[in-house]
Amino acid sequence: MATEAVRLDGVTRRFGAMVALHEAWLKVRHGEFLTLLGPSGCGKTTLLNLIAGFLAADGGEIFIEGALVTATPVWQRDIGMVFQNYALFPHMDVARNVAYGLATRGVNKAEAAQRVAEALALVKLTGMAGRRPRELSGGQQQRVALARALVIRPKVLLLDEPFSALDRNLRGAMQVELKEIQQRLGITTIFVTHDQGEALSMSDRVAVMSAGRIHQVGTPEEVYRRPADRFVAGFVGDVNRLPARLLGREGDTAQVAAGACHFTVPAAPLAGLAPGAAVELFLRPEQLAPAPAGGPALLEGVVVARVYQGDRMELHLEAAGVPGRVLLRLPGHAPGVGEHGSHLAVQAQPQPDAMAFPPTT
Amino acid sequence: MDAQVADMPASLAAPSRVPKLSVQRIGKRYGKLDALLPMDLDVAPGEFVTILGPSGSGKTTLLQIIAGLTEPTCGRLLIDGRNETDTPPHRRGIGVVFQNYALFPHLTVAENVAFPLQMRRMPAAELNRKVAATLEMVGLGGLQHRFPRELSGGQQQRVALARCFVYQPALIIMDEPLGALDRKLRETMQLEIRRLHRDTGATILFVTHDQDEALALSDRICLLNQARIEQLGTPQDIYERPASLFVADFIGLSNVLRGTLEAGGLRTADGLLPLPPGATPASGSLAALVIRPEHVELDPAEGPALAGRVTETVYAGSEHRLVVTLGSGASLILRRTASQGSLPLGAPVLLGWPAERAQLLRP
Amino acid sequence: MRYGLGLRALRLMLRLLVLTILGFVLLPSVVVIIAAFSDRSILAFPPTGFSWRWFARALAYEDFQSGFRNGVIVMAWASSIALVIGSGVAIALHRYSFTGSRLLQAMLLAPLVVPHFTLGLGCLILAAQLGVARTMGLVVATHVVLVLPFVLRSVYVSLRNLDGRLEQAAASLGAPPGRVLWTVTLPLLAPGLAGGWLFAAILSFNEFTASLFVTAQRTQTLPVAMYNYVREYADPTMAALAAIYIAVTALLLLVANRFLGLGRVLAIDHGH
Repeated sequence: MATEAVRLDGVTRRFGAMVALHEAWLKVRHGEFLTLLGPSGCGKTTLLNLIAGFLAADGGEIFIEGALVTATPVWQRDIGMVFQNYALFPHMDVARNVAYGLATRGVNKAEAAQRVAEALALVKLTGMAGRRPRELSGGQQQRVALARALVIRPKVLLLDEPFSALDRNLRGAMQVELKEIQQRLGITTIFVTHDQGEALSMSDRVAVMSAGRIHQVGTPEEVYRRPADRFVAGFVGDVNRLPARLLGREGDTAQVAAGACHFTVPAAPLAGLAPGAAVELFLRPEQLAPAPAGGPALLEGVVVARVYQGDRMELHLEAAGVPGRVLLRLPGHAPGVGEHGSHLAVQAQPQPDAMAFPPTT
Repeated sequence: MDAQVADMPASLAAPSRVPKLSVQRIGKRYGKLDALLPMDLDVAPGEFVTILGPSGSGKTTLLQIIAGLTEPTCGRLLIDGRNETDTPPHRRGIGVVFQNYALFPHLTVAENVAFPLQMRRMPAAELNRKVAATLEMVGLGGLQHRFPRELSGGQQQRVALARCFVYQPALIIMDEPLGALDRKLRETMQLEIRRLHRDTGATILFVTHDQDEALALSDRICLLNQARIEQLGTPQDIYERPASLFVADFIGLSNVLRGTLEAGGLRTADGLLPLPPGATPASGSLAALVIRPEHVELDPAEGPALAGRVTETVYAGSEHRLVVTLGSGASLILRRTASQGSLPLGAPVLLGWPAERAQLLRP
Repeated sequence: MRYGLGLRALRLMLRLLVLTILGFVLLPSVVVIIAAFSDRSILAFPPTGFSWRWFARALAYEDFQSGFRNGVIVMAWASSIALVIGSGVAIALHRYSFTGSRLLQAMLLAPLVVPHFTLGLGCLILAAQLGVARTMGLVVATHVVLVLPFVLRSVYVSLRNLDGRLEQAAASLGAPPGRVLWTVTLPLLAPGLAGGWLFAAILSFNEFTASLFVTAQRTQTLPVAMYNYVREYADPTMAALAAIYIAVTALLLLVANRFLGLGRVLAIDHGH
């Protein structure tokens, strides 16, 4: 198993003059859960459709299990696909839907029946075999779709925003269930979503995409704590962008100053900037806290909104010199802190995961 | 004396005791099916009340009855103290903002916003002034000559908000207005709606199935389930003192430990658990303790400690969520901040919580 | 119901208006059916007595019998051939955009706007030029041209309503294109195909203008036979035949509605 489960070598796809995917290079490991994360129109679905074979590449090569499949038609690629709208065959019952891929492979009836039963048990739909898709709830339909894709034991499981049509509580339950099944079967999985929470909680690695390019591939923790660029920092989780100044560089790290506070940040994004240059400091909301009276403050602002979220209170601040709003997350309902319209001094938590990037021109 | 009171500006008068909206024993049956069991709900002037519930809970039926699109089977509906149960929709003075915006595609932004004022035969000068001011208020100044199709989803929803706020209806109903927007835009628009509510003092009835949205926006939340009101209270009430297991489960994450009440605590498969102070249990009955994940502590300083192993870790960026499976097989979720870090799978842990943070509920 | 007198009056007026329109549409049929039971040998309304004898004559009249046989043969062949051609073209138009695809579409839909007598005359002249006799083949060919647009449209609409991801899902499960067509596309199109066929059949069976040009004595269809009858006789046999016609067509539509859903047959889509 030296080769990757899926490999993309410089795959490009255009629609007319628009480049939907620009030279994508990607290696997906065996048994890995990899998520393609990005806003709509970023090329993530194009990339998935290229791997599935629904689209043909305009350049580059695609390998599945080491075999070149760039020109292989969909039905010979041995993939399992789950669609956002389930795409169950309405004229077949649940069992025939799940058995469809076995029938195309000429699996004999007895074995097929057994594998269908196993697959339905896996997605907790035993007893539903005789139902029609329209008689099932959205969550149940998506389970059938998952069983249908898994029963053929595909080389790779592809999921295109499979849970976005489900409501919130159900989505959470389905995420946990998919992750459990994926780990139990050890199946290589490529998952497309625009929901960063979903990407962080489920994935072994996340590929963050925008405008047809892959910006960063890394573990959830890497893309959240060490985003490669401004886009990744802003898309994966909320972020505060504060004006700051570069003090100096030392090896891999650099020092920046914002307000009365100093921060150590990775130096790589700041290459080429001289000490004293203006930079933008990126800090996550949970890394900010109200400053004690008289202590050094990172910034001072006016509370313009208090948003209660049960386990936390989010404070939105407007501060002089800071474009946009500053967001703080405090545990609980934070009584007495940052009432609407009050002034609040803010400091950073000790040793925050701070990042700095050159300011946009 | 009465004359003096009448001459006083409204703002100086004693706060009105008359609710803006009063739902009195209103119910709806379709044949043998109860779409809505008779219920009461008062909304004070200027209040922001959210009707929250899963699909099929009756929230759409309640909304349609209030808007006049469906007739109730029983009960009365008062607006500003007047019985409006039989008033047709367009005479109720209720403004509605829909999820799909429902903008007129053949009219410009300004014409869309002017429409309700024209229907009320407002003079042109005043109308133009109001339309301009309202568009400015929702951040659409300068876009008045665009057509809806030339706007983004968020902008279209702003136009819909402007078209509703411009004629100052007695009550504004918003039916999942942000349902079609993506997460970031949704959060921006939530703040926008809060600001509009604060700036205009409008009375708003907001319908959603999204619990975070309800917590973020509301003065009070009316949580519906199976055609009845499960709980009515402030967001903090609902989150911290859920009235039932359904509420605890529907709003936020919660841990539920079931057992039998006995003297001194709740007997569960994982041992005797202390009850929250002030709980007055009937010995021998079944009950459940509900604890929010953020109140579960590792290696608690006091109280009983439950032994378990970490069986799942979920990374959420700003925090880690750990699932710990106890000896009995029951599992508890706890939150760890990014700086506290996660724990390896299989790690043995001891869990506890401050007794006053638990809620005792009927199973 | 509780919205006051004005609204109630308005609703009543609306209902009356709908009934009036319905009556106006149905009136000619009702008049014909009543006239069919007349006991006198002159088409007159209102009838003075009651009799079944014109029904007996209509069913026994030989030209009507042969016309009915011819009509059924032409209907079956024409709508079946049109279904095969129409489905193929609809799938091609839907799936691929090729040079001239729009022109092809326009040409195939042209019979919708070209008067039937033009088509009939055209087919007649063409047949004469090519030396083709006025056989059943010619009638069938003419009817294929006439009903093709309806079949094409019906299948095309069904295709548009078909979720393309179902075919993608089938392909991802290992089904090559032919198998996708047989196991997914065609079964899901079945109501559209059946509806298109039925629509074509009814049109073909009722078609008169073009048929008048291309039929001969031996190949005349029922409407042509009826026309020839009316030119010679004026008794209520025609009305009786018309009544039978209405009853059979209504029966067919009822059956179609029971098994296919009339909305789908007529390609009225209420889906999202």
